[in-house]
Amino acid sequence: MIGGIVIRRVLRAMLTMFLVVTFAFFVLRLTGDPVSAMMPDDTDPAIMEQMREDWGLNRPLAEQYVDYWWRLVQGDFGNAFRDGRPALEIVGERIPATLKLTLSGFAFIVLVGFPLGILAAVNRGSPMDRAIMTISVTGFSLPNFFLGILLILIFSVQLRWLPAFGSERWYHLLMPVFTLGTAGAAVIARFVRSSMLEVLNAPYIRAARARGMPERAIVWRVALPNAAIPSITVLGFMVGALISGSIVTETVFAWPGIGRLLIDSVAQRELAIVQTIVMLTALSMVVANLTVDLLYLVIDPRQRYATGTGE
Amino acid sequence: MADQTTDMPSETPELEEKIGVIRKMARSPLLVRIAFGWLAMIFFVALTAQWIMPYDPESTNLLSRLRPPGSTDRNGGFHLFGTDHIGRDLFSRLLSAIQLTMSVAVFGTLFGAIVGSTIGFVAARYRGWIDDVIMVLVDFQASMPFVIIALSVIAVTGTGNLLLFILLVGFQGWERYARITRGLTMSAVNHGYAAALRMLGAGTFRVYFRHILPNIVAAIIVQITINFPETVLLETAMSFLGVGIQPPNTSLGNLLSYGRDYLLNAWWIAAVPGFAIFFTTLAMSIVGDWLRDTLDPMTKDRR
Repeated sequence: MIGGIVIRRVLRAMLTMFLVVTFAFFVLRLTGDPVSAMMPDDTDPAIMEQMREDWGLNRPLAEQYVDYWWRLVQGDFGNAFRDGRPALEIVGERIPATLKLTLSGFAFIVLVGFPLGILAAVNRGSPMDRAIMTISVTGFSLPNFFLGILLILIFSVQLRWLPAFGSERWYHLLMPVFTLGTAGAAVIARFVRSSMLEVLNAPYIRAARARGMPERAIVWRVALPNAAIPSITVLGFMVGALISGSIVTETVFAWPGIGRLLIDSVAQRELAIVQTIVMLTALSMVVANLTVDLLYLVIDPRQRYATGTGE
Repeated sequence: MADQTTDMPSETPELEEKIGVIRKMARSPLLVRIAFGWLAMIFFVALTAQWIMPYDPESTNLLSRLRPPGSTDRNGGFHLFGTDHIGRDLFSRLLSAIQLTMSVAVFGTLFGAIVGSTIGFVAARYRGWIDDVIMVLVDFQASMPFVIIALSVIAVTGTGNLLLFILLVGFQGWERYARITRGLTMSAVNHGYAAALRMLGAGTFRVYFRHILPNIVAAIIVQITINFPETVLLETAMSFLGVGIQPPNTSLGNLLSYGRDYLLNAWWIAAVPGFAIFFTTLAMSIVGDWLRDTLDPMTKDRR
């Protein structure tokens, strides 16, 4: 039973990766001629023809597609146009900076979002609840690119507490992580609040109260674990939000990660780098979704017996 | 949208429900009314920007560069929000940027809604392998951040194609329209009236536009209210990053990105468009939340 579900989820993840590779192939081949997209307009036609020959662009599409797969399997994601280095190598150098930023952002979302949501639910209807929900709506509506600039204006320009750029010291992380994590923390706080409220109204909570269980124990030991289960799905969505958010955050704070590399590469039409980043993103998304699905199976026994595709 | 309430187990006739919504709007909290007011103003500006802007937003004046808000230049011209690094009036630029941002959002959102619902309808109408392929694509889209897809398209086509950019930005969220339309169309078909019409000789498109669409339009409109602010944010973010709207066109995102270079000595160039975007998306969330709460009593308990 469980084995069947796991296999189905893994197959779905593989299907997604297959679609991403196919998408990348068709976007790169069919929306225009990659050679003329990458070369300046006044390039010698003979050179362009030579490049098409080298890249196999004159061959039938199906053959190119198989060849494309073959190269990817071997880890060949193409070379950067500007210095001829492998795109995978260029992207790889940027991974640590982005991981540092996104993992800290994820920690921020969990450590800020969950407590705020619980606090609001436990004090439902109180000024505290209203304040937290107001902060949440504000945090959610504040576009991250403007939040980053506001932080720089306040803490770097006015107060001169923090440097606007840099990535070596721990305090360099503060403003980028806040920029990256605020919207996510706001979403999680709202979600945890409503899922806590739902659980706190459940019959088994009333039963626990009736048995004289202390309120504190009800909230932390009974309600929270049950309310946290659906939040895992939302945390899974956060991976996508963190990836999109890091593109903006890294640009605002000149953070030397993948997001800024992506924007630079889009502007310079470094297609090999762009496709490498797209596939890396897809891979992290697929792994995140698969992890969420499998975590569910471990945590929530009901899922193991659920029929259907498990949406 | 009042139609949605008729799905609820309620004995109130539909007309009274509609009057109830209007009454609730009149009694809405102050914050919601302020948000409505702000949005009304933004739409007014979007429609009338070229007539109400005090200066040509592109006319430069190097003698009055980086003037702070509320200052007067050498020729006695008043600048409500100051001037930028080449002496352009920021207020006029703001108005014209609001116009472009809102136009992109309106046309983009409508395009996405039409294309997405059509795809969903096609899936529900033809079923079989067409449905399978569409649902696989919907799942794929839901598992990829849209901005990554948009950026890879821009990487190939290059920046500067305004129409393509509007369509691209609007395409965000197509999978949600597709999913909603597909599900609702299938349940409408199950009600039997579509099959009855078909037997009477009505064609596919007649059945869809005249009979099914009116029944599902409320759900699509709710989805539009969710998608619209997301379209505004995607467009401004991409323009801010330099891969969206290109000069000489100016969106709120472009204005903000110019301001980034002058944070040290001219904060207003970034702050004015930034707050304009922030207040607009905030107003949309407040109004959207309130609308969904008001129209759907089921969620009232949880907020």
